Amino acid sequence: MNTNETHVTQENKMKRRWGMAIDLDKCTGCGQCSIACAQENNLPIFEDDSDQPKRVAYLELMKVTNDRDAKYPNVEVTFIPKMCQQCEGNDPSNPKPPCVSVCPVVATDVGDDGVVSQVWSRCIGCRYCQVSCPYEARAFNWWKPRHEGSFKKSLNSDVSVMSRGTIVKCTFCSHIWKRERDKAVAQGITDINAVLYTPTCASSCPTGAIVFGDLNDPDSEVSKLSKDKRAFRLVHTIDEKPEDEKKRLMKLKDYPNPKVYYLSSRQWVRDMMRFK
Amino acid sequence: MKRSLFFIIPFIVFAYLSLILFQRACDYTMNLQAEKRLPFNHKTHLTQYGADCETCHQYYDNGRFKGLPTVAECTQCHDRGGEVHNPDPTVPTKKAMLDSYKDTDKPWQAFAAQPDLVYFSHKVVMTATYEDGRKKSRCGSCHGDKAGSTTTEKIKGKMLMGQCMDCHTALHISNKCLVCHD
Amino acid sequence: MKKIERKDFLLLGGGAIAGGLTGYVFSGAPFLSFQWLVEWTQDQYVPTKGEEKYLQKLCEYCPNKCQISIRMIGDRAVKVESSNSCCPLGQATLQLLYHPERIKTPLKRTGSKGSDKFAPVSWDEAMKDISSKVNKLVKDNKADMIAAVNKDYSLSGELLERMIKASGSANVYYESSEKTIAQGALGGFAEYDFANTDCIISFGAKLLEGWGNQCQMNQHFLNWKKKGVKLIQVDTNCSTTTSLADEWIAVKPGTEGILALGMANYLIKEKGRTSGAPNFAAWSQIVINQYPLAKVSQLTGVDVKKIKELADTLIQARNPIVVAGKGSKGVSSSSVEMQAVYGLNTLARTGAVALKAPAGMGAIATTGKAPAAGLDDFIKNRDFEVMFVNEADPVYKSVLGKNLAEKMEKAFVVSITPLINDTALYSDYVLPSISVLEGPDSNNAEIVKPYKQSKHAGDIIIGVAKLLEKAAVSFQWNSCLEAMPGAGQTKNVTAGFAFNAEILKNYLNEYDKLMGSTEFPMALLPVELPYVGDGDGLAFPYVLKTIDRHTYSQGKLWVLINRESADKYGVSEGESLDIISERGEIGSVKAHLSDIVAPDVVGIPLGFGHLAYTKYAEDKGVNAKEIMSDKLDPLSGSANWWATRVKIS
Repeated sequence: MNTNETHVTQENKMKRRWGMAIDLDKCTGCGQCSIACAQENNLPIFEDDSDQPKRVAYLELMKVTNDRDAKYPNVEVTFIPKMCQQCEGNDPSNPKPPCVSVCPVVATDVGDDGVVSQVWSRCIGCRYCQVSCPYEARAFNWWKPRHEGSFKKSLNSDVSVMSRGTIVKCTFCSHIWKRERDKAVAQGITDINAVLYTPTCASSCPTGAIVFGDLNDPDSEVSKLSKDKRAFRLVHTIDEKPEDEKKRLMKLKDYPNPKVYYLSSRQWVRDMMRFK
Repeated sequence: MKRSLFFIIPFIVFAYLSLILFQRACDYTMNLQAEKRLPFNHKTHLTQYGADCETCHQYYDNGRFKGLPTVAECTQCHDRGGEVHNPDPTVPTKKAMLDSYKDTDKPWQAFAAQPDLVYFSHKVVMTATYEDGRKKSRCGSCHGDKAGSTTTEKIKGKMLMGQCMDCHTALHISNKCLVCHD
Repeated sequence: MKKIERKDFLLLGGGAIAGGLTGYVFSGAPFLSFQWLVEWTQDQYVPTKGEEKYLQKLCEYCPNKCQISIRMIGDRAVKVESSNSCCPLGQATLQLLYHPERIKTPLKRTGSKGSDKFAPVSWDEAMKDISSKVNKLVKDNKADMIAAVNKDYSLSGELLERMIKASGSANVYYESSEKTIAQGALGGFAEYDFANTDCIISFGAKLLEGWGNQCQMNQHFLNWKKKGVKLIQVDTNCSTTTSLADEWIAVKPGTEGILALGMANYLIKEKGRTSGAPNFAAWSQIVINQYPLAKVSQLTGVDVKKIKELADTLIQARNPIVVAGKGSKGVSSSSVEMQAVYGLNTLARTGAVALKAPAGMGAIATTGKAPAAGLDDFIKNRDFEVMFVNEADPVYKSVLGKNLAEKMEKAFVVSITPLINDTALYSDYVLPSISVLEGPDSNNAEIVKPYKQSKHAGDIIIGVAKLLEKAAVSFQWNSCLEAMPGAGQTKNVTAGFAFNAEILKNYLNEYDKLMGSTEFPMALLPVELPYVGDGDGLAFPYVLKTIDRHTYSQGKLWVLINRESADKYGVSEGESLDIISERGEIGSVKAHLSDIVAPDVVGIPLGFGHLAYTKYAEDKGVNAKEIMSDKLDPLSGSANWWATRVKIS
């Protein structure tokens, strides 16, 4: 069996680590990301989708304001598009997101490119992952997902239609990666790391607020934006601590370590992360 | 003793009958007895007539597999306006059985339908090569030796996930869920 | 033989059943049948596969004409993608294309108006009946009884206007937008050079939330950030635009116009600015007398220093723009305010704002009585016997919607729309139109054929026009494709903008009267979601998925009330309220306490409370317009619904 190893080409080893940088100073809350995500991922259609905590949506366009601490007219509003943050845990080389570590049936697992997969057909619906997710990014199908009548015609055949009683979540449109890989191979490019793609929320954003790319590539825009001074991560205040304090804390517990960075010049948005 | 025969005989008879019946039902549901309306001889086409797999089992430009060929692939060689008999064995003849079909028809059913949950890319698997240029897999690796068959009979039906994972493990290719599932 | 007893039969039967079950179990069928059972009970659906293609199309929903790419699987359109990233309605357009409640054929009313009872008829029959009604009115010299309501200045809008005018009636009206209000108040609509400006002062126009041309505004926004262009938003409530702007000037509700007049006072008195527009002398006299800065400051809540600073910023900018027209997709304003705000552009002598008017598609002599000043004026004061409604929903969107419905009950109404909406309920004929993905566009690209028997609104209008005895001669095109090149033309306004001192004279008195009402101490201000707009987006389920929990949640519409005001009026978070104005009452809604809205303001979302607009929009929340102010503006003929006073209970 060792003879096979010498024949395995290096080009098959995935080197990418997909992440996002979302510029909240550019987001106008137009909702296109949410509508495009629903269209691309065959999200179920309900007549009354107003029970937001029970809603089956991969991307929640959160409207946040500083009116907890500020009074009119010193108030501001901003929108935070929140999807699965594709956490990697304390050690990116051995990723342990909070949801993956609790799934009893390995319905969710971390891929080689850092994207956390969610195979709804394997899910038994225990919702342990939904509880453990610090970002409430996972949706449970409380009701039978339906696409009434002619709505079935606009279903994307790259994404399987989910079933009741299972958990679903954003997978950074990994099916689009697979689609792009096919195109690359059809053109003769077999290097798995030559494949670049854009999830649907990022490609539909009219102001380019959502930037997607490879965090392992120092030249990519997302890498540079993640190191910007305006960048922060949702509810991840360990980022602001000094290095030795970080190391000490990481020995005590597993931090989610998400791969979605948000950029905002507003101090109150970062303060909100601290549950002051 | 005799009493118990009243029980055992129908038991065995019905067990046998129901076993056969349900097995057939399962096979039917899983398309393992799929209808093949046009006969096709793989062996002759591949060895004598110079075709290879990709002549008829084609890909779209974006790399997605087209699936079973349509009658158009047949008429690409067996011209509808050609001669029915031709002494030259290298010239494909007109096949009358194709007349009742349109070019877009697919008169064959697959023995195994790919479930909705899997994004399987024929292109990636079939193009993958070792460093020395050898192909990592051929059509027969998964579908069985169709090249040697002279009829449209089923050689391999169910291809379950384990089969994919065994090969991936042996070739040190990732078995992570997202590789195939969305 | 031994007698066969019942017990033996039982054994036989038992053996058979047991055998059958054993065979079933060992055949492996239980696994498969369980899987089948799951898939059957859970309605498991697998979308049909097909060849993937990308087709290019021009989205002609609005004049921006975005180039969109439609991903097709086989003959199914599954995704809309765009390089200049269109707008939320563009993304949601697939939901219109495949909506199960799309109208398939022309419908003729069979029940009473408002009962939603229709029967399918053929196009020929519908067109014949409709044209005969128009022809009769024209023959009886009652052409003025023919009216039309357009959604906006689109191709079909221009064609309908042409048809009505060619029949001898001037009664063509457009739903309220920054263009229509401006036509009345300013004599043309303002064309802003957003690409080359260096400073923008917006008076309540929510530039980044769907105002004007949404696609273009997004690109301008990015440009402004890059070039450091200053955006100053004058507004009562906090919104996306005020938050993203460089500066937010918070004003008391309804005082945007007063602030503009205060700035004008400062510019005229202390900076010696004048304007060449007609009536400037009379207008400026009133401004100088009635709007001293101290008074303006007291009324608006903006201190004098700030007012002067704002005016100075304006005149020091190289190419400034002052934007008029409050709202996002639903725009409403008073003419005094529009003139004051637009007038600042002339005082600043900016080259970045010009007045344009629609050029139409060729000259048509307008005969007949002069039209009403605007749609609301027409609804209130005029009568009609035949009305065409072109992809609009005035019964829902106009504050006088109920009055219009009453008048429609006695008239012959034709509604062109792809889905049954509130206006269609009161129509005699409902003619199905298409989504932007169907039929050919200006480049003759076609994605999908029109759904069943639906047609492009332009083709429907051309079809009717050709059957009209008087108007047919003005319609040389055979299809809307032929008419497309001539549409969307604008021309400079030759007469230019003129100040109107008459309407300004009593503005302050009326404002004082409005504010003085002790019965209605709060202002009702609309809040709009960019993807719902003024109601258009609610029919689409994926839009419903985007609505946040403080707008519409658990079946109830939520309104925003300031925390201080909540204390004052004794309202707690989540409490059910009714909102009452002098026009009536709506309820119940739930209160969300937030300082995003100003004190003494109720912020109510627009777009909810449809009586008909597919089951996804029906009976969700309440329609704020029902109680909004119906005081008509003399110049624009529209109600200024931002000036509504209410009380809560």
